[in-house]
Amino acid sequence: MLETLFSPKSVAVVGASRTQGKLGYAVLSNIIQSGFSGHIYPINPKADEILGLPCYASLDDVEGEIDLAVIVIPAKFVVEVLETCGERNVGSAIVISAGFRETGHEGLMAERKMAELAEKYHMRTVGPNCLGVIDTLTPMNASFAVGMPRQGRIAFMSQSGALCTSILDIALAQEIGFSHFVSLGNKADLNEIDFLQAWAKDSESKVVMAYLEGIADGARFIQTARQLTKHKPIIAIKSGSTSAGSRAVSSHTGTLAGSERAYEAAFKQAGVLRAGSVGELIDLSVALAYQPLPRNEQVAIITNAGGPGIMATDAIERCGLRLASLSQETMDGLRQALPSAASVLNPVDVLGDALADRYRAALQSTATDPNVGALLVILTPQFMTEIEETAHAVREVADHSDIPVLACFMGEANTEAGAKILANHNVPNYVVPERAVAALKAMVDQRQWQERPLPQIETFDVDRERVARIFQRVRTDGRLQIGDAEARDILAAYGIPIPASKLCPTVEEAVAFAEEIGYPVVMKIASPDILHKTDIGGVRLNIESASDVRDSFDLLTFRAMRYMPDAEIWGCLVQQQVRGGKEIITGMNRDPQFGPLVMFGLGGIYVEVLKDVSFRIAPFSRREANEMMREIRSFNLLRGVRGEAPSDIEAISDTLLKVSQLVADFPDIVEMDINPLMAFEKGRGVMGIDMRLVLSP
Amino acid sequence: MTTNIYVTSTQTFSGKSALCIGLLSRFTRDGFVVGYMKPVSTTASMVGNQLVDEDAHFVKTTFDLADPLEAMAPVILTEKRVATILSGDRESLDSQVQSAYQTIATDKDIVVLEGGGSLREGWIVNLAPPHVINLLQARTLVLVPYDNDLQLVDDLITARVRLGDSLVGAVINRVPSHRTGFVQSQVKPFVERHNVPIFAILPRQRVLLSVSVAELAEKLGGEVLCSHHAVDELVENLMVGAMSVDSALTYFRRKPNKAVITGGDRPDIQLAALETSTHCLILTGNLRPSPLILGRAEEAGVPIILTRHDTMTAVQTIETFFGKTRFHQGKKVRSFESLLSKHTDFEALYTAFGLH
Repeated sequence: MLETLFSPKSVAVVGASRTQGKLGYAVLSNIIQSGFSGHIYPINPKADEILGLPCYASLDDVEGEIDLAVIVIPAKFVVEVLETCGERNVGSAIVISAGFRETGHEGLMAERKMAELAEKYHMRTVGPNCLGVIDTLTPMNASFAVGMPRQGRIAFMSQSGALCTSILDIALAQEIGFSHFVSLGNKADLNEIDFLQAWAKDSESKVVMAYLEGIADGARFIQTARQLTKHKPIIAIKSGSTSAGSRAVSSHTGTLAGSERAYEAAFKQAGVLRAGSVGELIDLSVALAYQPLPRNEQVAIITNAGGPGIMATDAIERCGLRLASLSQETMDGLRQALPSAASVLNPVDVLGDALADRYRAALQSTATDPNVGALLVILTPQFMTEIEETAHAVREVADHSDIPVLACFMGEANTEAGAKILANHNVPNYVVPERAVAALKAMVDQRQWQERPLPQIETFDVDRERVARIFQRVRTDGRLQIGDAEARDILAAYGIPIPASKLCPTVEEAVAFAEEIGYPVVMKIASPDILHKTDIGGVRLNIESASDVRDSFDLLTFRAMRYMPDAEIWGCLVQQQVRGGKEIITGMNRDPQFGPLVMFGLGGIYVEVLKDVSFRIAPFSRREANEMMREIRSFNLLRGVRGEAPSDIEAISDTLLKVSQLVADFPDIVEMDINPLMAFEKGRGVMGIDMRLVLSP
Repeated sequence: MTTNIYVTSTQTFSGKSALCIGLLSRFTRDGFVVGYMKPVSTTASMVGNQLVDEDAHFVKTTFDLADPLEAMAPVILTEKRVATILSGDRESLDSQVQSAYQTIATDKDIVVLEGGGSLREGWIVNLAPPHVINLLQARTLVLVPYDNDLQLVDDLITARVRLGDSLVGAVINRVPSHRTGFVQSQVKPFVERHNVPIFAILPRQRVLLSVSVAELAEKLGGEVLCSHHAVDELVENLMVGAMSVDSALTYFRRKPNKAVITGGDRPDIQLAALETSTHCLILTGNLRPSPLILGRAEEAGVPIILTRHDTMTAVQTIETFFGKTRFHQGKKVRSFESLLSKHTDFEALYTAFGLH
């Protein structure tokens, strides 16, 4: 996939320039300097020769085939040139030119046109408004970046062109290698999903690293990423996670950033590792690219200093990894190799005066211990420390080990030479232990993710037709909101138990029904215009008699007419009052980027005050539903504390799956809540007490 | 013989022009030659350099009538004219009205006379409803909008008392759907016993209370930045966007066909509004949106109005005229016509006015 983009045999630079400082010059110069061995065709009607290459007046003057066209001309000419490219069977195009959607409607339409041309001519197009594309293997640098990264295993894409240049600069300094380097630009045609697909099949790329501001198609992103992360890690920064940040994304990209919760859920469900900063992005990517995945979550620390060893231990515990318990054999070996003052318990302290050989011996003993999943080597530069020799010892052990070895040479001025050796031999090195541990954690997560099966979506036997009919009726009435009175039928159709209840237009009917089901009953105002009934005092509980029913009917309708004079009032819903059980809330809000984001939490203060909720994007598996429940801090309350009987966890999980199925079945549901869903003791199931739902216009 | 139907109402902005247009349209369809006249006009505006009544102008163009505008609205009350009258110069306008009527009535089967906006209008120039009815030998149809049960009954009976024998019957407008049953079964028989026949009970329709994007722009003194083709779209609801973007979507989904007022510096809110049923974005503080937003709005066909007002002032300005605007939009006319034909007992109305 995308061969003509990454490894073309010939490249045309449309808008190549003779003038230093112009983009058209930089791009051409980069292609030449990167050592690209195919044909290069500079296109410029005003020049005969640029940088020693014969120049062509137009694409039509080029006789040979053109695999890739790099376009660096003013925006208004771009569409026309792409059309010519298409007619000429150009394989791929990179549009570096800016001046598209960021300038208004005309620009946006030009982008739509670019996408059409890409489709019509099967000519995949990167950009517009991007830095370009680099492939280190071909090699080819079709960008206006400064410099070319060294060859490596990390494939990188970024929605910010400027961030590309910074990361490239960091990579040059730290000698980090890349396979592909892509600036996505405005994503008129090719977007992050296309590159994920391409890199899934690319044997040179071991790790995908991404900076994203928005995602074109959330559902497909999850699908595609989930396949890829099964064998290669994706490490991504998603910026715009605060509300001010999300506003900045909106003004930068013109898209509505999906909610932070949706991204969190999506990344979790797709196995995408999330980095919080550029530093972390690089830290994790390097470790995952160059070291094997840990055998297990147990880490052995080898250190020449007590303090940093303790700090590393804290970091390990805090993030959910464990300090390895070394086997007797390992400890025996260490005891022989190390001075008696050294600690042979993990963290293994080789003492401050340790030279390279002591490190080597300790590393060799621990690396073969089956209890050890990963090794962390800490070095502090002391007077006698052999920094370079130790670095060599570390990389030798790393070279022959099937568990990851990460280094933490703490320092800068004196440790630099060691750091260089480590970098050159692909042993990730971190200045502080916490950063190394964060990388180990990501590696363990990646391993666990790869071991877990792909989610299986269960489906229940439901009555879709019945729900479709309700929606039809509501839409015919010109409404979009569905209140409790109608929504209960939807719950019933999806097999979620509901209490006995009836919509009663008159007082007499209300009394008759209350008598029939028995007291106490609950009464709620029934109006298609009042979804938030409690806001206007539209719900009464503990109604014990016929006269109570009469009073309540009058009171509820009076309040409704008073607070919402425009509302249409159908009467009151009379409902069996449910006793016992724990209040749960589940609901869904359709995220603009990822679609149905299902929420779960315990009712009352747990949701409202403590915001103790968890999210998944539907459809999800039973395993994911169970994880969703266990994620909330108050989960133990459902398991039963202080002698309480446990709640019916399985029935709750069933309900979450039914909600997942419902919102996946009906994309026109944009919001829904079951609040409360009462969960009874184990074996007694759940009951949806109140529900509301909003349809898309 | 021309039948003169004087249409009046018990309060302003009750749908009187709509009723006149609805009737004219029905009569035309039934083969009658119709005319329209508004004896006293208080809603004049300049078209070119001519002072014309807005309703008359709309009727003339809608029904393609040949009658001159001066005859369709012979008496126009401007501020200047009112001042003259108050200073003592009270001329009799009877002859002016009569002669205009002669022009209109020639060769017509029916003339619809759009009367005072309320029963209290026109006294200043001695052209109050009872006087005009008498002068032009018209018979009256009164339009009474529903506010509450009590007001409805009182207004219907007041109309009977004030209009006397000239009153042929009434049309009840804007009844909330949950009260239509009550009005039909309780109010109608009651007032009919008081000799006020009811020809129609029209349910409330939001679209009829709506305002067009162009009207919003005009009232706000704002500039329409994009989607100029969609300025005739009608706005039924008004919402203010000043929350976090996560809550915005939930909030905006609650109301359809709305205008959203927000700051020019809130691209997230603007995009959220565009995701939901929005007919217009009103950006306050004179902060222009980014080209990216303009592009998206243009694509979605949603006009953006830029106003100098702050959000509070913009809301207040809009609220003063929401539901109180003229009826001059094709969409509203069609909607009212279908409402009228669905809910009116035309048989009874024709019989009462002797139109068979």
